[in-house]
Amino acid sequence: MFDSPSSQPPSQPSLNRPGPEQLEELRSRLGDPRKVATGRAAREHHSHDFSYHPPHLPDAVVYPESTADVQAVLEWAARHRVAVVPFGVGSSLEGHTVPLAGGISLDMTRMDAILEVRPEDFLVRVQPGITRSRLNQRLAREGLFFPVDPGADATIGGMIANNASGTSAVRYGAMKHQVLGLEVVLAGGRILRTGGRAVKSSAGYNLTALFVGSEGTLGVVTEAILRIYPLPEFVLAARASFPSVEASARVAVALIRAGVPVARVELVDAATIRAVNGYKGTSYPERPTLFLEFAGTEAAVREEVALARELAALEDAVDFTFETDPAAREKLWEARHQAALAIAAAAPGRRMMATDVCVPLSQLPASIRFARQVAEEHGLEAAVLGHVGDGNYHVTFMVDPENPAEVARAEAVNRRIVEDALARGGTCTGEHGVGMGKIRYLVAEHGEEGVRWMRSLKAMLDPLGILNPGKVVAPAGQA
Amino acid sequence: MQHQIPVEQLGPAGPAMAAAVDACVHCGFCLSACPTYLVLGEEMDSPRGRIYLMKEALEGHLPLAGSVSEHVDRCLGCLACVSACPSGVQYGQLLTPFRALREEQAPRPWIQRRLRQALLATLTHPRRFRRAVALATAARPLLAAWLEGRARPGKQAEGEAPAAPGGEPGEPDGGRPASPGGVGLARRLAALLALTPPRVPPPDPLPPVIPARGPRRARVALLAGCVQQVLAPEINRATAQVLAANGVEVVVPAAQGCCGALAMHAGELERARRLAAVNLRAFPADVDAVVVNAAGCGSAMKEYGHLFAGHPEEEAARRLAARVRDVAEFLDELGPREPGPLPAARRVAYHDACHLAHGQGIRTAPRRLLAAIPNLELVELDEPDLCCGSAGTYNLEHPEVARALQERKVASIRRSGAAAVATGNIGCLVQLRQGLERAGLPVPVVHTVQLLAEAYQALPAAL
Repeated sequence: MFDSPSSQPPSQPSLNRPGPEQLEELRSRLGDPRKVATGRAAREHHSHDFSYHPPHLPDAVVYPESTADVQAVLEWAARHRVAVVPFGVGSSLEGHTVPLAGGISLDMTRMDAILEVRPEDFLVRVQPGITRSRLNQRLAREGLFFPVDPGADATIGGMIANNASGTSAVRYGAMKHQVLGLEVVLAGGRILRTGGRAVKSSAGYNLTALFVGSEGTLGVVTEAILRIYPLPEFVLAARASFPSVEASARVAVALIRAGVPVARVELVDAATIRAVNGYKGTSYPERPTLFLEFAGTEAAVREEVALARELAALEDAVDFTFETDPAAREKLWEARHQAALAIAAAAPGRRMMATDVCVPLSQLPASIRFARQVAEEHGLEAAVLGHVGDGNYHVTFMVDPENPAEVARAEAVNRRIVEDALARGGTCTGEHGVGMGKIRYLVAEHGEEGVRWMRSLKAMLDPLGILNPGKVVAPAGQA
Repeated sequence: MQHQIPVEQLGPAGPAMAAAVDACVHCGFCLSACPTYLVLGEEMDSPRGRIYLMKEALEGHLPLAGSVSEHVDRCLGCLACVSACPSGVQYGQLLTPFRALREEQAPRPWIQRRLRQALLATLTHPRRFRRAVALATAARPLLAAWLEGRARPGKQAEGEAPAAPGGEPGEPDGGRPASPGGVGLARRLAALLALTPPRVPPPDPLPPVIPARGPRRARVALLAGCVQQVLAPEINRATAQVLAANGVEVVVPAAQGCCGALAMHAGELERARRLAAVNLRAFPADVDAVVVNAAGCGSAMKEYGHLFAGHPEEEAARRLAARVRDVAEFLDELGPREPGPLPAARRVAYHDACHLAHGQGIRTAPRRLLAAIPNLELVELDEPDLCCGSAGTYNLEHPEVARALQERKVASIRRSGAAAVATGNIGCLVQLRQGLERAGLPVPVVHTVQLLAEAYQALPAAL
């Protein structure tokens, strides 16, 4: 059903590596030599992301400081046929920022301004390099916040590129639900503005949505208009552990079915709790655990919590605990927030491979059961954690990238989990994106016809194939 | 991060350095907390980038001097990254020994070294420092005019590197002035001059024992400090008053000296140990705590154990370190007596000194103490725990970055509408005061204990 995995970068015969004179030309175009770095440390830092995918050095790292700079880079790159890979903080998980064809790693983090805050419109206009935590720090002053929270402190641009979500997507939706408008620099350097300040619009094709989740393959986002929300008046966090992963998944589904507008509902399995206990010296019960958060008015929240307790009791939950004090809430959520790092810390020198399939809610318990079974069959230490409120969960393995047999084994498990999810009507990636890791599943998910149209769109917007080559849709015959 | 650091060749600090590199998973949470990254926007001026560079240098892949040191020099040592790090990387335990290693193995140019040593030797001795300030004050108009001409930003003084991001680690010939860190003599003197007060307050030494008022609840020793007792002797006076008002007997050992923090953070560990050794002998063991009212000093003294790791004094250093308490921390733990009201309503912003918030994890205690004062409205700054740019001698060595952070802090004080700023460190206090004056914003900056002293004085049984 799927081609065997290939770690070879797809060949791009039409692309060039920039020589010293061309980089010198770029430096003078940008007017400041500090915007172009060719030192080893900078290039190495931009050669990989947070995942196990093999690194690849760019020829130079460019730090644009304005839309005009991005334009200059893309115009230059088109003229010389040099690849350009946009880069945020490098926390992606499917090799999105690995510059497979060398060329330019376009580090957007100096474009980190908050251009406009409109509390009365619940809008904010930002540059792509700002991170979500800094944005929220600023918005807190107005009693507002931006809800999308992938585990990492990602940049907004990176989150747009990957259509990120995270723990609060169950309530607020993913990135694509928050982006109202974009300024995008296209492959030849032309500027496209999409959407606007209205919360909804029926005017023509939705070009904004085309760029959200395009992973830097269609254009470079240089500005975004985002929806923001009032901070809830009252927040309550809760934690309960269950006899099995399936039981906790059933409770998550039951909560949604009961119409509880839960703010967060996260599942962490026993193996992960064990890793957190080992990592943080804590003593949480090493059982499958649901982490919940309720937010709204105090009266409503109290009612929701009472209902949640009843539903949890039906599945034999034990030690249902909850907290309202912010510091205590944070402590209670620690095991969830630290899970990925605990897993990473338990395996020094290894890199992370995290599946992130998403299935229809009714299929979630069975999907998780299947995933655990497959991992056990292959003798893999796997941690399951997930945003179970929207059917999206992770099975995380730490692999030694230098050990091909181990990587192959983990990839085999990954493939079976994806095949099963697709058979259940799900998707190969709920939030991490395709990058180079999920390319091989696109045809299975969307069909030949679907992927052909994706390639056509890519070819129309980026005819020379200079934008993040080898990602999302590899040229026909290479996926 | 995987590494091949030759741990055994690095002496007692080796394991802690390697552990810090090990623990970094490269997640990037530190970036948005790092002041130099905020100002310069360059990975290699972020904690993650610096950890990578230090690892490469320790492994021998990059030279210790050159651009690695430039990036490491530009670190303020504020430890905001330690607060932000979800993996618990102890960055400070990599940075301090790395700086020491660098000073030892890749010494700076002679003139820079002498200047540093002169500066440290002056700052750490109250009498020398007082004389130097008096001298600077007398010569101020003349010097200022001369320096103004020498230190224009456009003019590249000798051995001077612009705060340049986009550096080329490992390729020191990458088209930039190859100068290991720091700014020219003239600009450094200009920065120093700008920070010195127009006139030094008269010395105000405390008596060796200040009795508790009312029933005695505790007995503590107070660190009198070096720079602070020259620039702001009223802080020690206020500390003693507040402690006494809370039933605490205060002893001020005469034999004590500088805590060594400035030397420690500059990588001059030998000097730091020499200074600290004096204190190991000076502070009595029969007190409930050694109270410190300067965040940088408290933070350094709590790390005496690390400083003396592998030395004969290690045990004594650990014992003293365990007794060290910041004054706010101590009062909060003791349970402060109810303070009196300020004479009129006052809106006060609290600025977290890095070595209090990030170095010692003390955030709520000073806020709780201030908020308990009737008539005092406590307001938060936008970025309460972002470094103000003072950072020991940093504002003298990297005036551009220091100034950018100072201006950012002043802007947030302006937005807060505060009528006064409280903080817990003399360095921050001087830096904020200078920034506010420069911006023409008439907001006084005081130590937290000064507001408390004012409040306790309002009580009928005041000192």
